Amino acid sequence: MTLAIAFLATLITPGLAAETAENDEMELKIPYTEFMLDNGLQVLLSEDHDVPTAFVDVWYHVGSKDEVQGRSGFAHLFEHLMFQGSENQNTDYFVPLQAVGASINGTTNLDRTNYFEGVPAEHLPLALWLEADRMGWLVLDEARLANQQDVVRNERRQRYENPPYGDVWVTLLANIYEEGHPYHHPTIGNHEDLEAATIADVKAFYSQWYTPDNATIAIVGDIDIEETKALVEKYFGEIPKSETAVERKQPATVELTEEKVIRQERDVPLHKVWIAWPSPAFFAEGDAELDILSTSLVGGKSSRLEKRLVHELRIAKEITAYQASSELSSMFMINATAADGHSTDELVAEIDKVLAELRSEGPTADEIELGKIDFEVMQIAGLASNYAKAEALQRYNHYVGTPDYVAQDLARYANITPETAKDAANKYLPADKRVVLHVVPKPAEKSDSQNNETEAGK
Amino acid sequence: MRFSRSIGFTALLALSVGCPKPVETVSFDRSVQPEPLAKPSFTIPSAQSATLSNGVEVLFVENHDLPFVWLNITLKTGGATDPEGLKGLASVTMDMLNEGAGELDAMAFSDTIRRLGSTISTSGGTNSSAVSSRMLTRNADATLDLVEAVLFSPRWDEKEWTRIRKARKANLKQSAEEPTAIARKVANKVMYGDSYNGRSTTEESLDAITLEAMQSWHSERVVAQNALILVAGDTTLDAIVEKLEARFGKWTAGEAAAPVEVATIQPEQTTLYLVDKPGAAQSVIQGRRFVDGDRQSEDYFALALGNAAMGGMFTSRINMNLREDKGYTYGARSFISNGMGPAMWGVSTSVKTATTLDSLKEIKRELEDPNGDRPLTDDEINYVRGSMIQSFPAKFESPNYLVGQRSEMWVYDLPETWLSDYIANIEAPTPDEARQALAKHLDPSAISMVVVGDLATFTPGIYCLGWATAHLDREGNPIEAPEDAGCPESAPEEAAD
Repeated sequence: MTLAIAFLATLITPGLAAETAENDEMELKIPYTEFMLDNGLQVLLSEDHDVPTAFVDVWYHVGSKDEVQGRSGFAHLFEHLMFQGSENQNTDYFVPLQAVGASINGTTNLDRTNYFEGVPAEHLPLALWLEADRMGWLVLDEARLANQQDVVRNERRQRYENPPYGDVWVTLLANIYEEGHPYHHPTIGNHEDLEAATIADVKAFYSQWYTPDNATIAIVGDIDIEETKALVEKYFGEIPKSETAVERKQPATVELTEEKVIRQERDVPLHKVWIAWPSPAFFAEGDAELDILSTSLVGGKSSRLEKRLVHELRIAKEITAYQASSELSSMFMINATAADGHSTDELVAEIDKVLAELRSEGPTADEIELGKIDFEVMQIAGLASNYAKAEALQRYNHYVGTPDYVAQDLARYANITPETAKDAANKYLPADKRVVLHVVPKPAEKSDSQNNETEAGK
Repeated sequence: MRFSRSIGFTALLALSVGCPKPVETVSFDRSVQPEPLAKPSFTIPSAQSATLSNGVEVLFVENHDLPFVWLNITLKTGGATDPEGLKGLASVTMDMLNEGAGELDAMAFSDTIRRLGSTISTSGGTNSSAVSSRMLTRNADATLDLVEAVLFSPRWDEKEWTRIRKARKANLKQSAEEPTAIARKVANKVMYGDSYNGRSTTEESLDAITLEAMQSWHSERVVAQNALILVAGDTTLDAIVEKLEARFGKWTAGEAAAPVEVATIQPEQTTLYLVDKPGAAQSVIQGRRFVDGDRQSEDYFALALGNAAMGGMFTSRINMNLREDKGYTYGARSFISNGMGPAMWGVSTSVKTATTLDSLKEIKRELEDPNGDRPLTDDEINYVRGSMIQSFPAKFESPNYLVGQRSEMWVYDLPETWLSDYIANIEAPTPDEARQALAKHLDPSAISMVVVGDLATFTPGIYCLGWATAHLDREGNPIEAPEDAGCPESAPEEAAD
């Protein structure tokens, strides 16, 4: 692999590694070449000759945040239609790609949609021909739409409805973000909206968002840069750019005015509770601090919440916490499962004590150091494949406007101090402005209707 | 040079040197699928090997891409031989190895490993167990010291076992509500009865497991005779062997674990095993049948091709029918899984409740057609063959793939040539041989088909499909059929669809 790791940033880990003395001048980098076609398609290329494969990763800068009222789930439904055939490959896209042993998929989230295929290096032209064909000449018809409406609704059932606790994310989004906020609804959407989608919606969405000037293609692997440039130019060059510029939604601070407590009784086996706060957007000030704070809380057996709730008091079976970062705003979440015989209210009371200590004392220098190690190692280990490198280039490009950001990303963590982390805990994790979601087993006598109570301002 | 099979393309290439210029006109026919570039060569990477002074074999895959070393100590023993009444013993013993070792209690151990930027994990599977670690190259010595402590001086702290036992019981409760977990567990019970994979950990078995039982398991099973050490990453063979010798070179030989006995229950007719899950949004369907032989049997690769064409890939018949044509599901696959004993064939999907009966009928049809109205074509067989061959090199992108394969080869006594002959083995069977292998091994009239779903919503139709039915609880134990079970004479199958 070609990953210029001239160093591990200073924080791994002074004291442990004498050989890091000269670190300051070194830099972590994913080498890449960038250019743009006349139609606005942004292209990122990176060579890696370890194995004879090429990874093609196309990001369209549209996600479920861009859906219109009454069409929740549409960006993801549309993603499915992108696999159903185009003018020059008018069958399922898996057919020609799986034929050459490619790994293929696409994903949609709140912010963006990606399509990718890892192909044997000699089949790069096939992958580019296909990606260009669906960018420029997608075939849309009623039958394909109807079929994929069924498939996506089954995906919703399989992932969000049939598994216990599957719809927690849906409930949290709906309560953190008020009606009308782009994140109020989940990417999967709801059945009514999915069912309501028409072919006219599909065509409008395609022409509004699926244009070369709203897309970035990254190609990482066993490629020749000049040859690949020519191929991209050949297949994508004539796709017209959009007629109207799309408006990119901007991050905005989300503040709750009170604590919202939701109690759900469901067909679930264990007592679980989620505590969630709206938090700074991906890469905004405070985002990295919350990442590090999550490790102070649950980064290991001696971290604050794990130690107190799981190991000392033993009232929790397990506990997790993380900053779920997104473009417009993020969500910081704590999730705890009660140990047998204990209630979610006990968990919340104890979590609150731990958080109060964290807010007043702040994390120790040692906790911050451990958190930095966790994140730095995770980031470097996370660049291990062509897929991971393509996604890193795309992610930085989408969220901060430059693919060349690995070193700065690491620096975000390196610059955190106990004081900045303490400030973040006080500013972003208040006790009185948050959503607390209890999901507990339905008592035996209530068998049918689902119980769902919301208390405000507890 | 990897350029170019098309003339238009070469011309464009000239344009693209430096900053690409716009293409004025389209100089090629988009309706023609492009020719591939020249195929780069690929050699399957191989592992280096060494032997420690006590005979433990070391396999090493050198790779300096990232500043990490990955270690996997595979033990050829696992839960398959857990004594009666102590199911879960191997698995919880391996858990307990990672709950403090040597001077460090669980909490101090966790801190120490974090500080090194390393991870250590332990796991007990059915046929093998493992201690694994990822370490920064520069912290290899300190991390290996901790791995040594995990293997040889675990703490066996009672309070950690009390906590883990309670958590394990909660996990059992949790999986008893997860439809897919229920279906898999029940399918194992149906196919293996009370042997091998059919037995599950229970609250009672967790209560019966003591620290003494774990310590005996540890001293009998975690021995050099059962161990293979695999390393990948940023070091050299000499350097790593020296470190390993210092820590594992005196590991007591012990006795190799006895081979696992596997008893199987091959269905004689198709039976629907129904598990009620009122209110379920989908029905989980898991079909099973043993297929003769294992990875070393004569028909293995021919059967793999036949199954792949029938249901092994996204583009195979089962998924293209149930998902892309009918829209009953988010996905449906068939597979062949290998453990000890005969391989097991399976089909797996989750379908919208209202389509449960139609889905079962379509699955039945897809299993029957290859031997009946719609034999697999040469094209279908060759399609999956090409896919399997061409996807092979990509797997070696991470050195850990080769490590994982070598571990698997060792645990299951696969031939040394398993990887080097893989492509030739996939290339060898003719389409006829693939069809014949599928016909010979997969009798579509004798499948055990587990359905976990809201039974009321597909009663009575489920009893009118022409298959035997049996009712099971979520553990796979037989229970009485509900009063309304059975196909009413006046309610023909069609009415239930």
